[in-house]
Amino acid sequence: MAERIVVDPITRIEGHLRIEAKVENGKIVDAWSSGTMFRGIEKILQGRDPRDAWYITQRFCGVCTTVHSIASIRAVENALGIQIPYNAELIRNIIMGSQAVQDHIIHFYHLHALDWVDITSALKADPKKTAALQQSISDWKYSSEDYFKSVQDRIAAFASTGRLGPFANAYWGHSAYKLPPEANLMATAHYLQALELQKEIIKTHAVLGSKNPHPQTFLVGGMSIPIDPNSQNAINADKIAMILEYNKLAKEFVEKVYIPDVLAVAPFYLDWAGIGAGHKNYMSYGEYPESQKGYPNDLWLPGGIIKGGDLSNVIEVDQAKIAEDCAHSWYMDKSSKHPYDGQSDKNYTGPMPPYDYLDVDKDYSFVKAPRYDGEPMEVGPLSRMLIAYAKGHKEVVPVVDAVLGKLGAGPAALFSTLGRTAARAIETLVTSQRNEKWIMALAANIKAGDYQIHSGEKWEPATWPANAKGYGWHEAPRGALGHWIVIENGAIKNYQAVVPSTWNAGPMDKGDVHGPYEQSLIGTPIADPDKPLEILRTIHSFDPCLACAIHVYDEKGELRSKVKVL
Amino acid sequence: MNLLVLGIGNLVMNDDAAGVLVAQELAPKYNNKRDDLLVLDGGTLGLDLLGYIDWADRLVLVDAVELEMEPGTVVKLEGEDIDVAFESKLSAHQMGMKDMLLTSELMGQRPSEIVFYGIQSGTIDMDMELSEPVKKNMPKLTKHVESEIQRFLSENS
Repeated sequence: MAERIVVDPITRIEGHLRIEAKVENGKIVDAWSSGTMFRGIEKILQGRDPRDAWYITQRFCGVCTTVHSIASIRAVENALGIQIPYNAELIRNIIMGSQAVQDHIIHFYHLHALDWVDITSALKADPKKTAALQQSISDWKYSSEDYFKSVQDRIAAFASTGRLGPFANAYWGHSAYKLPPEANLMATAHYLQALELQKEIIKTHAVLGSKNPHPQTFLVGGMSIPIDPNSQNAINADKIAMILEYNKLAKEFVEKVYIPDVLAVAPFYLDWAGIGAGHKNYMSYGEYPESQKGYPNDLWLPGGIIKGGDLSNVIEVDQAKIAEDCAHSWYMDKSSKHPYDGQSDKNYTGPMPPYDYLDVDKDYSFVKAPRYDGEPMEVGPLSRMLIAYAKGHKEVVPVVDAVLGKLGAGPAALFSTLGRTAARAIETLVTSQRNEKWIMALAANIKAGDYQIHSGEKWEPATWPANAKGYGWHEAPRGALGHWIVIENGAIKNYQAVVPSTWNAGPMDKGDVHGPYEQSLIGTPIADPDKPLEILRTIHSFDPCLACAIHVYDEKGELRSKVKVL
Repeated sequence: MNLLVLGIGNLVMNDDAAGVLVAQELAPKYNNKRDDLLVLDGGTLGLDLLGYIDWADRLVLVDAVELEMEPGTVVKLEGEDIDVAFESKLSAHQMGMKDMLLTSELMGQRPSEIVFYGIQSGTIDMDMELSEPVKKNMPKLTKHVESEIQRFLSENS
């Protein structure tokens, strides 16, 4: 007997991703992913100055603001053939690297951990045994019995107010939670520590971006923050020391808490190394240019494509082979189009809300279905780490091997929900370590007397060709992000962003081939269809971000009687 | 005593930008003059704002609202009603204001005074133009927010 279960919305805190899954005999046999909110932000950009695009695209999303700035300025620089100074390349690396580290930590502890950690069980833990557990996994500073008792008291006091806050809306007590109370308490303590820590890590953006959120120092041709060892309003030795310190805090936390947590929790959930694989197609554009030659040369993390889990064959990415299919999406133009020619005119034909189910035989999502050479691709940390691993990457290979060794698993275990979560942790570690090198390289370059931060030779539109097109790629925390721009007579003619969650969350294509979320859910066991925790685990392992749009308070009735009209 | 004036909203969704625009207008006038006052364009939220909220003792929030009132209507909320207001908020962001305030409370750092100023939106389509009624009442919204800053300055001179 088949049953259709619906999870809407699925992001842990808020969001507009809807998953429908068909369950038979305790297993998912089919699944559909739908973005129920229209974006279409690209249309705003038409007719505007390409040099302003980064400022507007940075507002696409509330969670990952810098990533759209980077992709946008790279697209314009690519279209106009601009190479930016080495200092600017390094500063962008540091901004991107610290964003990735902060975002991954937040994802693991604040958006994903509660799929594995039962907070209510933490209240039953023995603080003494928890202290022993903590001391057994690393030499982290917060490891005393008193400390864990205080965490327990704080959570108990908060819960006693009847408001669970960020812990609301979870399936507490679900049979799929497997950790002993002490591991739950330890992870809960780390949840709180990570909240404090992320505030520090992201200060790097305020230093290098003049402001956070929404840093302001991006500029087509480089960056706009000056370098001057003798000025307090520029990048100087003090500021370098500050960002080095923020990164050090992050690195220590990842080494002593995040990685040990993943290794401590994973053994209880090893069955999840065999669940959630999907198509096993992985794509990365590559990231972090490290040489004077500038982007896209000499990237620290390599780009590439892996098909069907074949690690012996990494294919180069050719942007001409990317197209967006709208066969099951609510758009006017149903044909498959390269982003240069992409359209965003919506045509909603779905049911009028409230409704029970989407008509998945027809159109069922505002998300398009991107395809590479006709095939769906998963993007994100797992793709990046697999491609780096397959290419024998010097920093990635030893960490992946060490993690797999501790879990007693082979590389095939990475093609899974657990693999996605482990890969994100591995990437956080190697990135926080590498970020230190970029900061030191910036310091050394400044010390050598190079203060150049911006290349202005193609700033004036008079120097541009009448027609130009280009693409800007960035490996954002959630995966491969691409902006495509068409410039005509100094203004934007067309603009398309293909974001990581579009690759991952897209619906079926014209051949009814599922998108990565959908495919990864098929075969997943469901213990209780009324509490589909298992769906959340896999979808959250991708780090969904359908959070790129609307924001208006929508409480009528009761609230209306309370507000004071001025 | 630290005052944070936090304008939130999406700059590319017409009237949803109202709070951000108020912050962008007031920031140059008041920022970098004293270290207990900050006017911040918080954009579309996220945990990035937690550090600022924890820092604040008094928080003035400014945002667009959907209350099915006449577009451009300026409203105020304070005290316990703030929590009700954020309880069932429609927001697409991963970490909405409700979660931010609860998280701040969980950390024992929630601002002791919070006041909210809102403006009823007319259109929240994807674009960068305010609707006429909202545009007309923006000075009124800004004036109320600025009066909070003035009150703070007179109390903490």
